[in-house]
Amino acid sequence: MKRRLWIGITLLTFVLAVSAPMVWSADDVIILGMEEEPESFDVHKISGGLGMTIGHLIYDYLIRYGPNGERLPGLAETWEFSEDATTLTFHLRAGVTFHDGSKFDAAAVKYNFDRLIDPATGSPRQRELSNAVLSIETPDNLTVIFNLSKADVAFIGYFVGEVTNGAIISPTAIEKYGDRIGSNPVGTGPFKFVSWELGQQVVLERNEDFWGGAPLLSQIIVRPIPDASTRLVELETGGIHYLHKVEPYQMNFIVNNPDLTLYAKPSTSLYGLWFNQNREPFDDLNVRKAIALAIDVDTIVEVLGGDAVVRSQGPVPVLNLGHNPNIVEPGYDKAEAKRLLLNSGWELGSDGLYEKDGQKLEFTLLSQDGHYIQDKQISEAVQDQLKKFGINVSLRIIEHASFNSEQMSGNFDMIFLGGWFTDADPARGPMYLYLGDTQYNVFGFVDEDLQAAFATARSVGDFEVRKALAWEAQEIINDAVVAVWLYNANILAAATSNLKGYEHNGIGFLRLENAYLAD
Amino acid sequence: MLLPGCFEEPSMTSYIIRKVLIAIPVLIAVVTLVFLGIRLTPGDPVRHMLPPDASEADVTQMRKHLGLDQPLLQQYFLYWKRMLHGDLGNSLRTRRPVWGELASRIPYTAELALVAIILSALMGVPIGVYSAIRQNTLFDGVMRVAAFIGVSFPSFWLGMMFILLFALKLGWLPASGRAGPIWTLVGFRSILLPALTLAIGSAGSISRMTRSSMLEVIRQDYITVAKAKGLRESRVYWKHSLKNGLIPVITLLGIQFGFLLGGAVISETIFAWPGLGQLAVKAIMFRDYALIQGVVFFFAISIVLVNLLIDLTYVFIDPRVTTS
Repeated sequence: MKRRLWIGITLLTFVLAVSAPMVWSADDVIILGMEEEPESFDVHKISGGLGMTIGHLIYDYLIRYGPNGERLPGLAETWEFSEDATTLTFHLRAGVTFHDGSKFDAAAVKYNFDRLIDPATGSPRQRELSNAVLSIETPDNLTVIFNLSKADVAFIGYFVGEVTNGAIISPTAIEKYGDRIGSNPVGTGPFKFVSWELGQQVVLERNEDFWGGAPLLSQIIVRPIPDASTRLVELETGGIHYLHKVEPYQMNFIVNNPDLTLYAKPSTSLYGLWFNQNREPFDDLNVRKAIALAIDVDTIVEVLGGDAVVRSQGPVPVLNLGHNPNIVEPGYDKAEAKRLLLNSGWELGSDGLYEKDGQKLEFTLLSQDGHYIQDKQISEAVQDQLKKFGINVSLRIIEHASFNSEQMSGNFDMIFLGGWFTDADPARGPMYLYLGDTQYNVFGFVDEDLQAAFATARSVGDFEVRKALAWEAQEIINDAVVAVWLYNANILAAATSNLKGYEHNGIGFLRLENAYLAD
Repeated sequence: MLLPGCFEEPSMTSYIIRKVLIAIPVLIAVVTLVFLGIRLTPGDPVRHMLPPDASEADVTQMRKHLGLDQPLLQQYFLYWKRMLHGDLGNSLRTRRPVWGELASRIPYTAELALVAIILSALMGVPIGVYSAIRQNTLFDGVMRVAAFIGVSFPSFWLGMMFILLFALKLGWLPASGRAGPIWTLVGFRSILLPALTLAIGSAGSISRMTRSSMLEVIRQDYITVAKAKGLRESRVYWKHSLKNGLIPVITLLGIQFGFLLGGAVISETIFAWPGLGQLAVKAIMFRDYALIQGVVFFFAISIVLVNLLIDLTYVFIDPRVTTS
């Protein structure tokens, strides 16, 4: 009997101890829940991803990306192009120091860009930068001059945060850590790197000497939580204060919970259904246009996309500085679609499908399940609408890495594709999708006039002139019905309602220097 | 009553050597299959590494920088050459050495697997024994259904239910993450849910195996004799029968270990546990060749080792099993 009593007491103690509520953090410490772990903080070597997103807390760029895409002074206070747009001069901020105590100056900027250009570094921007930059001069401690190989106003984009790999890392630290700088980042940003336990957490602390004033939070802990549902439970139970990637289906739930705040902001992203013009029958403009006319895009996007997206307009995201608001997409007009198909010799067969020379009008739509917002659902709706119209669409839904590979090798008829275009300059932005010489133009769309117009646009200093050229280009692309454009995705994040002062912007990187936890 | 050849030292050593030698072709096959398999699957890590506006020339250059432009056979031999020198290469995604990536995660998967195995044995063995003793009673019937459910529930669903119940509804345990070493209270609390998720399925199989093996044992004459001699019933079952009934269960534990590593891939992802499983998922998504190879190679080695260990355990547990 006594033995049983002891067992009972032990068990009870155990249960009580184990089920005690958990206290994670102090008042000025916040925990961020991210969808994965940053790959590395060596931002010279990585391409996008959370290394850059979190890197923004540690590093500064010469130019800061403002909440609405504007360019704000960062480590450079001012900058100017020469009249012929072949040299770009930066005037740097004085009195800035890196977290390791070394001084930020012109030599540090040169060191960083020399590293980016050095093939041994293996930066994804190496070839592009080495082609663009002839030399880098540092006439004094606070002036850096980039001499360019040709007039290129859009070159400024390399210095804007998040868009490029141009964060300024402490040269002393790079010398000290070598290849291990990615796990020991040292910058000039609002937060200093403290530690990184792989797979568990990254810890940052306040940089008291930050040039923009010391942040309010004393510490930031970044945790990778890959599962979306687990992330949300962590937010609800106070395990994290900020959730980086909200899934569209979680939005309503967050809005209806008074303890949580949903942040949604339109982004400079664009998603659509792209035609492979290298394949029949999409080499025929009439067919492309007829398909666009036979899909009720407005309704599909409104019903399936909901508040997670905004309906796009034309080939450039609405938020992009170079977006042409006068673009008129084909719209929803089945009669016109029918007329266009008849013009190209397609006739409605007895089975209700269009055919020409015994060949049915049918194609495969390459898509994914859950990689883009409502990708599978929208693909199915399109399939359904086109079937009713008389076009047979088979869906091919595959996993992302395979999808990516099929996309890049151009192995598709039509593809549900999208992406981010963080550089808002009208002469850069999403234009690489439509020009002939980039790896992402896999659609067989080549237009010589467009190429020439862009070469000109990049050499013109005047923003309005560049914009006019970009507007014209969008008309050309829209008239060619390169794709059926669907939506611009919203950037979605959530936080506990006591997190104040967080700046939610259209690129998705974190600005937390004014953030604090209210009582 | 020793059988010939039983405790002879040389045969034990040669037994181990023979087992290790058999493992070598297995490992070679694993490395080769994984090497070819991931390269033949569509997907290209270089595309992930470059910004979207990179040109074909950038792609070619990066591929060259990483040595991925060489013929497959050459890459394969190079991989072996490096591996025999103890170098598993660098992760394409993080650019850190694969050894370091593995080493930083192995302890966490090991502790998770260990706790899960212990939990499943703690649940499975007593239930199995009790079911055998109380064969065809209500308890036996309920446990049969429970084991069936435990084995059938997918761990991603079970894990989510645990999170909803214990973290969200009751607020007893943290929903995810590893809060500290297992011997601290916070650490122990954080490992409970992922380990339990992994353990439930194994516990089901273990309880069934224990039950049938025990049933076989308790029907034997020496048990009847023991009972007839007037030994306490609990002593007869839990000592005399269990020791003999455990051998197939131990084999099963070895097999379960492989399943646990596989299950860890899911459980670690749901519970954000910083182990190899989560690393494997990320590596596969990214087509991080070197890292995938490293993780699978490690899994293969550990399964081979655990099974070797199990084979050796028989010899110690049951003198009738010889090394010949």
